[in-house]
Amino acid sequence: MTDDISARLRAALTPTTDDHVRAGALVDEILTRSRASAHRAAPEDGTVTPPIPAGARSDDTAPRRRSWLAPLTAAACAAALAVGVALPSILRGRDEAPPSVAGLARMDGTRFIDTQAWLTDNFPTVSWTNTDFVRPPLVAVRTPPWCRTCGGQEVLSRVVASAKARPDARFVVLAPGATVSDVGAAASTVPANVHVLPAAEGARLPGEDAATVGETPVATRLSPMGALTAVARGNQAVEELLTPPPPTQVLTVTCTDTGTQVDAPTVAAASDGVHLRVVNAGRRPVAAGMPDADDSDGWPWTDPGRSRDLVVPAAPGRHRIICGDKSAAATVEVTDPTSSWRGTIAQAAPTCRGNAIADYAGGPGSGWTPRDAVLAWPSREFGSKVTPLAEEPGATVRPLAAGYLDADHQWWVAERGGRAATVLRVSVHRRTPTKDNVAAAEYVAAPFRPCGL
Amino acid sequence: MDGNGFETWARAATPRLLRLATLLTGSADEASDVVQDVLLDVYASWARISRTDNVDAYVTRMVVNRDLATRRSGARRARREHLTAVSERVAGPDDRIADRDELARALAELGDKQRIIVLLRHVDGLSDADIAAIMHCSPATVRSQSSRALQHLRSHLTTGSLT
Repeated sequence: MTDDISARLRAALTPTTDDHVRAGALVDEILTRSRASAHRAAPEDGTVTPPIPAGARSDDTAPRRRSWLAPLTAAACAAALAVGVALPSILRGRDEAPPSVAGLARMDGTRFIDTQAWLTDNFPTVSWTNTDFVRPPLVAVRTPPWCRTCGGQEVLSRVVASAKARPDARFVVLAPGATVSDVGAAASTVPANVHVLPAAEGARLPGEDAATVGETPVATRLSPMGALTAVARGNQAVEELLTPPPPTQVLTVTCTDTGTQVDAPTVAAASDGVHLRVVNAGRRPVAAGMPDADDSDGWPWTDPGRSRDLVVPAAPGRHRIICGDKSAAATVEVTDPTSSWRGTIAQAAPTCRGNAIADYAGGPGSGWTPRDAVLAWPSREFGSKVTPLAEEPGATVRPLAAGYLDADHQWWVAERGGRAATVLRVSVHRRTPTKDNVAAAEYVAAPFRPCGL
Repeated sequence: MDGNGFETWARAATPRLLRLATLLTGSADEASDVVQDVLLDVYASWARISRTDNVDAYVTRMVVNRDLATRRSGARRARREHLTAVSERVAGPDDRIADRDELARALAELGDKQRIIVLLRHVDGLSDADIAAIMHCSPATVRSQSSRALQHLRSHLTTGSLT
């Protein structure tokens, strides 16, 4: 019995054709590295190290490894960051020539994978960064699966913000051709450490493969619209790659019976908005908020002696904060250090004047993607028949780049005849996790602002 | 270009190391990572390693140790979910595929320690004492873990020859 298992195990260990192919590529890569670094540092560089005892742990060799790889690493990073010799035809932020695609993956073993997670319920977020010294630093960005029409620009704006914050990192984004053209038009705004590649280039990069990052499955293929970036090899050290979120400043707003006090004159918005903590030091329930915020959720009540946390989508700039509508207001300057603010609804949909009577039948739409939810919105009512937007002739919908990148809701506009008719607010509704930690997210679209025609 | 024999050895040994690492990690990607790291170490120390009695066995143990080190670091969390995909990638016109997949799945269900012990003991032919030294445990633990692992494999491998 045991012999049989041994035999089967040995048989299972017989290399496959695929193993041979991968092994050949692996050895080639190592030899290429070694030859490239040979003139910089010889492998046997005179470092005195004791012999490795039989069965010793391979990581005992780390000191020698570093001494050998350090020049190579420096050279690779320098090549990527300064010269760009290993990068594909790139739309760089400056006037740099597009180099070859060939070396990018081989240079550092980094794999390129689709960054569209199965379930991502928010706007693109920078999720990992690779700080392994062997490879040049790369940052992975994931985009939500529903973001079919906004992927490139949305991701790019997010990446640009991150790139400015991390000038030591190299950001690689794959985008479809059209998006790349758009990016090209705005190339002057892209920092030099951001590289935007056509998705077709990425598709040719070796090593795309299924990978799992934590409990978030990541798809295998490049999507037509999806932005793509690099992630460290396999799952190894993914935990080390997690980018810690920047600290969020919470502005404390104290409501008294006579007025409003804030604990700082300025507040830095997080990527999802301005974080407030309303403390009611008065004797009556109070609702506090920022009246000039474009799309506030409304002002929830806070009981005396209690506090409440809010995230307000207040644009960068000077704002009033007020407890109730009769007390004296405080003022605060909102800053946007992560460049997460994308503009107001009015800027994103300039034909939406917002002064018409609502022409919808009421009630939300829901679906498995924001687009589905918007299209399911019952836009008109004819007698007893409610017509969802999807069935309305000539109606189109598109997402609006408005508000904060990581806000818990997003904005879509329904257009008729090319003119904005209604702005809808789309939120994600999390369903109870079913199994394997897979939480289902359902989107709900509700009319927010009739635009008038 | 292979003045010291590294390339010749690597081209011959790497396919087997990759297969072993795939069974250890449950992932072709992670296997590539492990083997690549080990080969870098081997290359850097080739002058010494090539003088050992059994280079293949030595490097096999490096692969196992690298896998262990990765697990101990806590860096590798999610894995083996893609075992099916791994099996698909190795598929070809080979009658052993089904058996290989079944074994791979059964191995994947073992604990890390048990899987490594089984592979070292029944494939690499190491003694309990050698395995204990690698695994930082006692020979008795190696025996008990091996026994449990075999029990698991026996119950999960469906062919009638395992009686």
